[in-house]
Amino acid sequence: MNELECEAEIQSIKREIRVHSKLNHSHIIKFFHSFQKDNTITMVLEYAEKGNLYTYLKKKKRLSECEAYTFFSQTLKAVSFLHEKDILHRDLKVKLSKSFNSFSLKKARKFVVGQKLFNKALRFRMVL
Amino acid sequence: MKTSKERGFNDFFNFLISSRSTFCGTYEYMSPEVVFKKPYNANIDVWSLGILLYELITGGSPFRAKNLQDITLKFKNHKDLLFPDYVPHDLRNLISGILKMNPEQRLTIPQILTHKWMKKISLIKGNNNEHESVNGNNMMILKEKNPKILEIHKIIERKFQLPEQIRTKTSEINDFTDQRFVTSPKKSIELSITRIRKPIFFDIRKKTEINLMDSTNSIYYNKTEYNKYRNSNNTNLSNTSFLNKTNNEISVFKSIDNSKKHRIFLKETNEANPGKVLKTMENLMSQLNVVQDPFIDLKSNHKLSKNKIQFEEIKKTKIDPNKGLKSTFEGIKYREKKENLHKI
Repeated sequence: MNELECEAEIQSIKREIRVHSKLNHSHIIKFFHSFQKDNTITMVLEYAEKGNLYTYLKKKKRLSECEAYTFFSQTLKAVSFLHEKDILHRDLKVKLSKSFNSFSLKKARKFVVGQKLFNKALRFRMVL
Repeated sequence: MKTSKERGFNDFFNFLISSRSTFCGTYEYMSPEVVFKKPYNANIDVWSLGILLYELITGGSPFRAKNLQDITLKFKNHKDLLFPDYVPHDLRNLISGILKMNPEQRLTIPQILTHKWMKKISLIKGNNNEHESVNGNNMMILKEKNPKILEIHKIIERKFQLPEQIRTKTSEINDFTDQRFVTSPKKSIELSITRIRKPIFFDIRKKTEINLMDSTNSIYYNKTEYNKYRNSNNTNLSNTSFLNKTNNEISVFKSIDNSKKHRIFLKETNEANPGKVLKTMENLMSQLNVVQDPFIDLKSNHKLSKNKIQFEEIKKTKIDPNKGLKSTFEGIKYREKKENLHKI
């Protein structure tokens, strides 16, 4: 990767951190803390105990209307909350909008500059 | 045309696609505007919401694709969405209303919220679900369902005659069709910012610190208490630690030496158990070899900065009383540095 590309990545991550740290909504994963050390940026996010919606969907193959409604209405609320603040998510998908109840802080998210980057944050928290 | 702000993530997104072959899955969620590189607005999120609904109900996405070429072909040849047999009619109506190729014909978020299917399921769910019944939305539905509840509400309102603001707050706070949500984004932002900034450190006067540590290690909250204990019992004090607190600092001392072990700054979280937060934070820091005061390195998070800076200034003036002027000058410098960091 070029230096220029690296810088673009870093700046996009920083932008995301800046936006995410200002959000406070019950259906968006909470942002606690972030720091940079050497060439890694670490974000401390709310821990999502039950994993993501993607794995849940894979297990169940398809959901009932009621269950689909709960997830869908929650993401709707989160998205409309973002739109109120003139934020576009732009990358909504099942793999991101995952995670159920949880209130602990165990997971730190690492962004290694120059390697993997897909695991963007700004996930949604689902309450069953 | 797009402004630089709007473009940011999408450019980055394109760059990822162009440079990686393993970046699959997201093609299924890309909206036609993004694929055909047209200017877009908030409707792209609505599109991906529609695909999310489709995937939740059928288990697969409507547009499966592995390349950009695949998905452009599919969009060009697209006519009608196909549904499995078990999908009811009103749901088909909703999904096909959201997944329209022309972004201007798509349903908006308030339209989705008031759609037939949404109302139907929320009525069914309203009885069983405790979570949802707290919301104002379901209160409204309950009112519609049960005329007695409406009467009771009217009586209560007459009796207490709440000022308008409070009444609307209690009844319609979750109603997204309410115009306040649409018309005053600025207010909501201001509100949320103050809400975030207020709770920073634990209020020690509230005695929240009792939960901070495990009960297995005995902790003393006052020096006098600690000394009393020390004089009365000649037991082993090797495991005990001593907790000292000032306005915004909690420091932990290791027993007899009274040498400072580490200093901890705390941030209030409403839901989480504070002890857990602290422990996991410490674990994390030790794993990453960050020594002491993790929050000093904190660059992006603005929540802690204010109190932190104040504390730093006080400390400096205490240490160098003769150089009072100089230390305050340093404090100002420090503050400027911090502010610059936020701008990054």
